[in-house]
Amino acid sequence: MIILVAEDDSRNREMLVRRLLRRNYSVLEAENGLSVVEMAKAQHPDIILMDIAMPELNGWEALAQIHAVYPELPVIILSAHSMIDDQRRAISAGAVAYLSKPIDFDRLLIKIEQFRR
Amino acid sequence: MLTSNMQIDISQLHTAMREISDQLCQAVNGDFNFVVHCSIADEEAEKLTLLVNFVLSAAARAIDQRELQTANLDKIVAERTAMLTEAKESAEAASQAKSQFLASMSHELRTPLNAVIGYSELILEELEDGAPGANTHNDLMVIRDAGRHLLGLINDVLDLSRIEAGQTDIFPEYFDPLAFTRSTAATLHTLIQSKGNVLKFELPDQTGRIHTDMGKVRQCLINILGNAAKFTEHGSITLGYRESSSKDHRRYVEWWIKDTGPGIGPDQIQKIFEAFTQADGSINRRYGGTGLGLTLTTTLCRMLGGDIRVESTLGQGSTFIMRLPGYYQATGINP
Repeated sequence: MIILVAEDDSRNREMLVRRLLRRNYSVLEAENGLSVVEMAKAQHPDIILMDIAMPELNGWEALAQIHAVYPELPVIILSAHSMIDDQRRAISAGAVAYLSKPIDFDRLLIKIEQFRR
Repeated sequence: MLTSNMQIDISQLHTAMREISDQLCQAVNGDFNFVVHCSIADEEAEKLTLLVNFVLSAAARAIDQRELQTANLDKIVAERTAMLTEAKESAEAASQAKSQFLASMSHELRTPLNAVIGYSELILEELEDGAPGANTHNDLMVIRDAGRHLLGLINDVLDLSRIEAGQTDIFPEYFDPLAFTRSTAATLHTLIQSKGNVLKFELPDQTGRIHTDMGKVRQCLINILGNAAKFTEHGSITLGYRESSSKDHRRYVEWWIKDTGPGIGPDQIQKIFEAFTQADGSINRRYGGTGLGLTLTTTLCRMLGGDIRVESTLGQGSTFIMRLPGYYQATGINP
């Protein structure tokens, strides 16, 4: 089970990665929108956890590019934007779930198990 | 034709009346702007003609007046409608700006909160396993920094909202701007040196005292100098002061802060004074700051009757120029 974490804030990315590693997931890291698209293609993760506000390519664009190649790859959006519109947009853009920051980690684990390929 | 002293006969009187009534037909269409003539030389017929003309001219005047009033009213209605439309649009824009501010604010609070909660939970998990990780010290520093960042954000937001609510008073006082400038810069000495920067002064040998709110000017200078110190590495920061007069011959004073930092591109230079518009999110992470410093500085400068502007070329540093009246006056000049 490989999880790809895409988050540009290094502290928040490192924290998420460490907490996932503690639960014996294999974790890959991407720090911008371009590299998450490349890694999704090259490393075949089982699920992607993705921030929206990222440099190079934002989460929406990255999501569209990934789904153009792998329409079935589950993507969970983790965003500091908490507006209801963002949640709707995430689901209509094809994300399987939307969690706003601060992340409820237990809920994230449930979603990962629910949607993993 | 009869003469006036002769008795008028019925048929002539009839002719006179028909003459008048024929002419009056024009009034049926609402046109009262004419004069009736009577060809019968009779005193009563002339009197009647005179009275009819009097009534006609009164009616014509009344109609003119009404048309004028209607036109005026239309003009007033148009003006008021334009005013209301403008007020509505500006209220909508203000409301939109407020929502945007709240959305950005929420975003800016949630990112450090995510670190605070996430790292706390991570440390707790490790403690529960019986062995705190080798990273615990660093993790706690991340939590502390995120907490401090949140505090700075909350302070800035409260400052801004107090100003907007008109709850900030201005306390003008006389002081020597040169001593003030040196002592303000001294408080940032450590921050300026921490990235290998040199602080230079360009101050006149002597100058007159100025009269304004020293605390607020200090807050502005610290914000701008702090930005210069954060964005510049192994370069120099120059703090200058000069007097200038304007077209209205009022005395103005200017502080200028010039750095040798990365500069600001033309696409960003308009945006930097807006709230939460540090070129992109990564700037916050690289350079710190709440994204409200320049917004707050601009607001304070305006309160003091002045303004702030920036001149910059990408790759060649930036110069911020803060201009204030040398004598702060509470009414009239300051908005």
